[in-house]
Amino acid sequence: MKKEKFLDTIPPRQRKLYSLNLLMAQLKELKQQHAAEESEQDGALSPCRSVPYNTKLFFTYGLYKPISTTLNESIWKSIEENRNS
Amino acid sequence: MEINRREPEFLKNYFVLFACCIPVEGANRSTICDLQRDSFELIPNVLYEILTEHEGKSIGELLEAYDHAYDKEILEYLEFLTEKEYGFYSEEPQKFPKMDLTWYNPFPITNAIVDFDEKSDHNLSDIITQLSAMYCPAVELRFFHALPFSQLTACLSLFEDTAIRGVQVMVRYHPDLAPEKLNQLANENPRVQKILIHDAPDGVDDDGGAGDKIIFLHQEITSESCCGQVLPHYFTSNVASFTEAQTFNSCLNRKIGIDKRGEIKNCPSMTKSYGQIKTTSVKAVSEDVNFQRAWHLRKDEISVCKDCEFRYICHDCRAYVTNPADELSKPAKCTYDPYEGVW
Repeated sequence: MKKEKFLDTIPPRQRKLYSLNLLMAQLKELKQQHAAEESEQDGALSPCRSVPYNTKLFFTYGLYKPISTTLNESIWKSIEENRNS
Repeated sequence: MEINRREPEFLKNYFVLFACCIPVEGANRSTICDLQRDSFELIPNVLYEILTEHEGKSIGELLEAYDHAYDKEILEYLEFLTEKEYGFYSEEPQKFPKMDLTWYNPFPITNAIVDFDEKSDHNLSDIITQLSAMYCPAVELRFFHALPFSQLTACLSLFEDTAIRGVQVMVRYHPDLAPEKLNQLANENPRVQKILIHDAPDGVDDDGGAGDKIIFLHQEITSESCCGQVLPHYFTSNVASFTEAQTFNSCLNRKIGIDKRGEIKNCPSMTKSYGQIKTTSVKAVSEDVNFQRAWHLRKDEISVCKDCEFRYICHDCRAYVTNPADELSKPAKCTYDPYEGVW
């Protein structure tokens, strides 16, 4: 499969703005990575969640709902059994 | 200090539900959907009536509305809701407005499913480029055939430098898909939410080396016809999904489905194609008014679902319905009967 660059799809006059956003995102990522390394050194790296409200909506990579619903009841049961075993 | 719930001062209070806790009436029972904690509570319909029809009445006025015949029960209901942190007492209920249930989302397409089998010849790279140009945040890849590790890695590498934020993968087991290798692949690709390996042999991940994002299933997922399950496992009680379900279809809204033959559809399981991916752009299809029609099939219009207390937290299915001639009939794979309250 041939890989096409996402940047090629952006009109040239908008590329500067895109690059700036990308740069900022990379800086943020470095900062997060640094924080994660520090946290790993402390021995604990847990996903971001608010304990009192048990919300996971801070998790930026996931969609807020299932994309497809392929697993039937028996599959869910076996997944839960595996988790508990 | 314990509150005396019969004191005149207490009776001047109002019971206020937290804005994120929204009651939904069903035919036989109701729910309070907690959009902050991603949970729901089943409640009797009489409590729904207390919370909605008598909203704006003080506790004293509420008890009077039922001629003081059920004071003990009503106060117990309110106490139950307070203990469970669904609401609170206040002398100034006007200071706690309701949540705006309008759904806002900046993306023209929010999610896409792309299917493959061994005979598929559509170009994933081209599809990803098109979806990324539309800022589609989430993609699910479903491979009904086995893929070696190198091909799976190549597929995931196509998402680098794209606007797509999350990727889920379903793939048939291949001996090359070792748990530890998959775990490392998922960790190296933060976009990867889940890799589900179906048709896996017994004991392939007995030592748990695959990690949380990798799931091995014995069951085989042969085709798109396995989709459309309606189960509590898929319920989502959050602001985005709840508000979307008020106005739009909870499954198909802003979804692109590309089936294993490369046909662009609302969902790979549906029959109507809006064009072949090799000759038609995803953007053009997504802007087609006929394509967007399915986005507006709300749960409030669907037979049986419209009487269900789970209708705003449930994932709908329009591909497999009880009456194929009626696009608003109940999802065929839903076994719940809201009139009896049983699954």
